[in-house]
Amino acid sequence: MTFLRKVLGIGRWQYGFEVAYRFNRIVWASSLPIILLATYFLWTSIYAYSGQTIINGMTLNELIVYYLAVQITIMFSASMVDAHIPRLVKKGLLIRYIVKPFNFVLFWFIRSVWRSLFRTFAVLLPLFALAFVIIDFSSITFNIPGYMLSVILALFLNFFYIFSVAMICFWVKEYEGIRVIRRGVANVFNGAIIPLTFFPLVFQKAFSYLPFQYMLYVPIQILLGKYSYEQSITMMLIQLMWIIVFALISIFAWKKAQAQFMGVGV
Amino acid sequence: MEVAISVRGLKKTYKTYSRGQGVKSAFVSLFKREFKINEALKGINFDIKKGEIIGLIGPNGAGKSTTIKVMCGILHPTEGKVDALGYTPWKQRVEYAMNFGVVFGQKSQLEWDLPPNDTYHLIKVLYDIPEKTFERRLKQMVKLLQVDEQYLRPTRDLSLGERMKCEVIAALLHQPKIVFLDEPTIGMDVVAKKRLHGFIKKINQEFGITFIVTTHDMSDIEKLCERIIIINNGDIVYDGLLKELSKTHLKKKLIEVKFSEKTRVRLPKRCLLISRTPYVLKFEVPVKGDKMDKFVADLITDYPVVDITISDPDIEEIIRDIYEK
Amino acid sequence: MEKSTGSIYGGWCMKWFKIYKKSFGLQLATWMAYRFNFFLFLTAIVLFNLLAPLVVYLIYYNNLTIPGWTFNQVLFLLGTYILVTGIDVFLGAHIEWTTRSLLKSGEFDKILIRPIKPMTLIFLRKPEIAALSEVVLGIIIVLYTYTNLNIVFNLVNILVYLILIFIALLFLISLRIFIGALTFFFIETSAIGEFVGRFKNFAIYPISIYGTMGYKLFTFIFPIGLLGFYPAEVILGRAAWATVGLSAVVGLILFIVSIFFWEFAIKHYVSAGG
Repeated sequence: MTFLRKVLGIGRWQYGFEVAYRFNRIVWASSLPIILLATYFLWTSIYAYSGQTIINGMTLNELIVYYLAVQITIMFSASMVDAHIPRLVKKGLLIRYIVKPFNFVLFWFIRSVWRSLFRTFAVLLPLFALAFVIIDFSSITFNIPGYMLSVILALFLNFFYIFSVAMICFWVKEYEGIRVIRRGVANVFNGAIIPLTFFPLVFQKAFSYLPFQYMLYVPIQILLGKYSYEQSITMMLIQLMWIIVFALISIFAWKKAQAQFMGVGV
Repeated sequence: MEVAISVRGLKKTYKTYSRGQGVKSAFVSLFKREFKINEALKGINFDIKKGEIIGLIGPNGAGKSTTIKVMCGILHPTEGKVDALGYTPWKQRVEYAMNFGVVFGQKSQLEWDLPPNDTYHLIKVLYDIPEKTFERRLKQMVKLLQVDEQYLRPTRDLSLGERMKCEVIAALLHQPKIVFLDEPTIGMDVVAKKRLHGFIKKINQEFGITFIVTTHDMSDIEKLCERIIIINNGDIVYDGLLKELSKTHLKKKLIEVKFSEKTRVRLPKRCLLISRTPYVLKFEVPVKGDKMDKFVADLITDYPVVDITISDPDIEEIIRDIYEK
Repeated sequence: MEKSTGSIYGGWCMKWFKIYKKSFGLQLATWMAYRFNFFLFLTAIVLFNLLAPLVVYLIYYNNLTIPGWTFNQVLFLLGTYILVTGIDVFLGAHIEWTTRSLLKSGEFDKILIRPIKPMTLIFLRKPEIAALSEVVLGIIIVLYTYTNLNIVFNLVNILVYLILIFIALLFLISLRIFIGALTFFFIETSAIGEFVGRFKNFAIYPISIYGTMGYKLFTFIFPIGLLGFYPAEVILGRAAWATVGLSAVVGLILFIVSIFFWEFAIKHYVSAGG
């Protein structure tokens, strides 16, 4: 019971941040449809000119849904830990969190999940307002339950992956550069800029051995019904495997980080 | 009286990598790094009893913040033992954290863009404070420190003094057994300081909370601390009652003499003249010196003395003398 | 005893030289300390700017086309876009940021006191060095694709191209000036700035894909067509000169208006008691 109280309390606290920055949020949420719109025009013209209705296994409609799903999925599964923690470390404010009687990693996970929920909720309206205009939802059979399960796994995976990389901030003077690169790399390999089926086969094969596609591409493919039932289960198991890998790295890295800053001061 | 924290043989050594100055050494540092060993704490021992308000003072870099950080459990020592309420702080950090509160003058516990109240509610939840108890305590402390409307405004809108008061409340909400205050009155005006001093004393008396105060402010020390520990260069140079400090470390006394007529007195060599007007003479006298007793006695008999005041130098001077030792 | 003028002067030079050497050395040492991070940051910017080219590459790799444009042509457009936005960030980014931070901290009044116009001072303060990597990348892409385009060298087209880039820059900077000026009214304008910035992204693709409405919008009202589309069309020798000219005029007008608006905003700020 007390644990639930804590989870809700952290949510209330995180909500304070959402409210404090709500003006920025609204503006930023309103800018997401712009990206979707640009993508819509681009692909409409490409499909029209090519004369094909299906390209790399997707119709134009499905492709637009794909990009819509990219934005929503990223909103939900991404984590802000590697934006916040390195800044706190740099300013010496980590102390704020480590004198509290609560596990550090768990605290940031709970905080991250709440933020995901608030953010996703905030962007749903502007995105779907546009989406209903340009997308024909009725022509696709969506696998919503599969998507939800996979996206929750993606949430965990994203968190531990980002947290692991963020731990580097305890050993470098400036983390920002690393962060931008990390995001850029992830966004290419996870299918955010273009479906992975557009890449040369060699690359597609390589991607399947990397964790990135399981953070974004896989949940969306499940949503669009691109995998058979068995394939979906396999994909989710691989997601689970990567979660375990990065969770272990996170815990190990955090232990090392603690030893580091407890040795030299925080 | 029971002991809250006991420290034995606490040593902390830092390795600092130096780059030296100029381009050449920056280049060299890419291949080989020079380092210096800095002994922040050289093996100190002390006990802090439950319910004490103790002052930890010393010049910057003396080892105060290192000691505090070790006692909070966010720094582990190179050597030594620390027992705080039965815990080894750096080994049992999460459980120990329930029992202490901390206020860092330079590093805020409050979020910049949020009102302190938001952080208070988070504390309520993380420290398992029952709802009614939380409300009662919060109301009480807000009233005592007079931050009734401030604690609901974003931290960035508060003055430094108001913010510090809110920080102190944050540290006390869960009624910890020990509270560390690092430069708590920095930037406060006299009135606010007084209020905070009164508050801390009240809390200390009512709930028996142990306070460990690090400060450069003499009024903090004089108003709050019965006992002080002076650290200099990683060693403890004084550990005892504040009032005993003057007795054991007194090296000089201040004498002010008022004359009824214009007088000129020639001072013996070991006296230090502070100020001289035709009617008033102020000077310092070294304590150890029997010639001084005679001199003062002679002063009264030989000159038209109307009034003579002999006082101790203020605490600040005494402590500064100890720093310089 | 009198020292010769020569030795006094010589002594002064030596002193000045020693101070300069020391401060330069210090700067260099500091720079080397952060060089790794700086290098990382530059790499990050370059990689980020290569995302759009990557998408375009993959489109063409899959034997698809953006109507009316070959791969090299699109890449040429992209290169121009990267180049122009890079220069804009390099020169103008801090018109927004510096104005905002100075107003927030209340330091803007310091600038008003100086005899130089506030805008000039802010403009000269601190170019964003990191953005130079974008500029370099843009130039590389432009030069590389230009050689692959197999066009007859046409000096007039090239000159017009450069003029259009210049006007595009004026337009982009005008946006920054607008936002900067708005900051005098609404201090917290970072969100608006970002929002407006997003609209620039439409320009990475040929604006012809946005339908007639979009095309007109990006030519005559919010002329981001100048950022890549029109310069590219000019080089490719298929520009409709009237349209291009009109778009350029719109860009110029916006620039002039933005300066007036800035002056107006400052007057308002001063009269409101700063």
